[in-house]
Amino acid sequence: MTDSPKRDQELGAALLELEVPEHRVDFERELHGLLALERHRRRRLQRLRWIVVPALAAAAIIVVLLVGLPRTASSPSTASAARVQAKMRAAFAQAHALTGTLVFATAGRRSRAKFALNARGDLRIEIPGTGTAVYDAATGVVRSLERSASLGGGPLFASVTTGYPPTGPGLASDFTQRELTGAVRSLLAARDPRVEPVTVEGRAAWRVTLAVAPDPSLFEADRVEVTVDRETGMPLRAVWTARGKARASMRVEDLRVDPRLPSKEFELAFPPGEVLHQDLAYRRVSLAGVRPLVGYQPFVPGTLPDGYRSAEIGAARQVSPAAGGEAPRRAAVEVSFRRGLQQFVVGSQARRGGAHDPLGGPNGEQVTLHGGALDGARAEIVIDPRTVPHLWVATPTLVVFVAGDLTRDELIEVVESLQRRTH
Amino acid sequence: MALDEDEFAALVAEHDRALRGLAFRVLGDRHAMDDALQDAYVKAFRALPRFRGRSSARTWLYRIVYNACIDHLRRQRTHAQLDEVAAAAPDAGDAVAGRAALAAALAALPVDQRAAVLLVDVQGFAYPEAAVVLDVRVGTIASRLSRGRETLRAALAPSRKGAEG
Repeated sequence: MTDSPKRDQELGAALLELEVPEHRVDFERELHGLLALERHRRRRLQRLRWIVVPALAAAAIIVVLLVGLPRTASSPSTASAARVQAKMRAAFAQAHALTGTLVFATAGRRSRAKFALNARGDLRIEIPGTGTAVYDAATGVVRSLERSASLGGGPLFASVTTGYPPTGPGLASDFTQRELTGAVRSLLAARDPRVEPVTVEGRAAWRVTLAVAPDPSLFEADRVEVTVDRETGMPLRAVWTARGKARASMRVEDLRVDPRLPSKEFELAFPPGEVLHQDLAYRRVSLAGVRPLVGYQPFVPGTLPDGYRSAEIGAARQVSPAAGGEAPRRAAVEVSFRRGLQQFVVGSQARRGGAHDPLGGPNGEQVTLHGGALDGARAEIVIDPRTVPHLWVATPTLVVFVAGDLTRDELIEVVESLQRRTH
Repeated sequence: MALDEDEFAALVAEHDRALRGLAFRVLGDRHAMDDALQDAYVKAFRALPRFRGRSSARTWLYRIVYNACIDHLRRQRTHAQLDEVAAAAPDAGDAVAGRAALAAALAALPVDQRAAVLLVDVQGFAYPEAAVVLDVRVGTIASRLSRGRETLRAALAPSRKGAEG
């Protein structure tokens, strides 16, 4: 302990005599579990960097941006922002498929990834020299063939990961993925973005520049620039900068909207040999199948924002730590809805101790809910660069959340219409 | 200067009791204290590769813990107003003559004054170091201390008289 000449010794001594509680009995065990998860996340990130990062980058570009730009319209720049927003919303809500090549660069490393995705949520990522992964949204299965990044190449390893939640591998299920997509999501939170017309490789485009809250856990970016194609409304490039220096960039080449995809685009055949298996524990079920698995009736919205339709339902008794997230999840349910390439989920899981944001986001806006199964409850809306736009509520036994491609008002509308249903 | 995992474990072990004291007095609740400390230790662990030793490891860890406590306080507003949390009843262990009054007076202080007093007068932080932890200017620390100490000394006075008389 250092001694300060301005310290009040007498008062300090009296305060030191006050009781300091011991930790609860399970504190150390829980902490060790959380730190083990963190190590696992770190190793997984290193191992899968060249597969997963571009995949989530694809998610960032494709799924996230559309929710929008700021909703104020008091100046010429925000009026332009609203126009960009409208164009992007329409583009993503109406598209059925998308292909292109992502070029992602950070910390002196550059990777290219060919991607394809469709409105069912299926995804294919192909990284020259590294590997290929496909995600089947209907079954929640990822099949991948990849070379070991840590060994610098070598043979291809085949692996099958089952039991993904409906949000899949590229959106809300992994903390790091959310961090990366979050910088782009800052478009949501900004109050006064600058929008200017630019030309990119001969194409008319808009460039949106935003100040973002520095995120010490990723790029430490304090600014993000996103360039949006005027004709298609699709994002072409994003650049994250910190103190004027570029930290990471991502651009899309050869973008095609609604291309004709080969019938086996989202299948991946393995060569003979060993296949590694991992199960994240989510099962695709019907509404009636949720309760037998997790012990309670799921929450389902009574009204849906325009164009959204019911998609998959996933439930897990105990989610595997390999799924990532802030803490082991029990009795977890995700009911998914899709609109074109957009998605949102209504999720719930067993409450663990105090009330925690299930997506690990920063503090948000407090609101009281009026209507639905959670009528009268206090909820927190989190729209921030560091996480997926979401709203969460703690009940005595469950944490319920709505997350995905929804505006603030849509989040509230959905949560206030929730009902407990089995069919 | 980076920290490895062993050094991190040693750092936490060395300061855990003091950090429990800080978190408990800021949050006024044992469960919240544990939740905030778990969050803080995980965040610190995650940030280990980026710790560059620009501040001391102790200051760095205290700052993360204090921020985690403030995050928890904000979240508790879902269920209770901040003032109610701040005015949480003293722990049963404080119910010894004099201590209860001091604990109650401490709990009644605004969080920012409470934290300044705990860091400087209890933990012995120098003003600039406490300013880093609380992310304020040194002058702000001085003014918070002045106001906080005044209230606490008033709470101490009756027990002093009793001891003297």
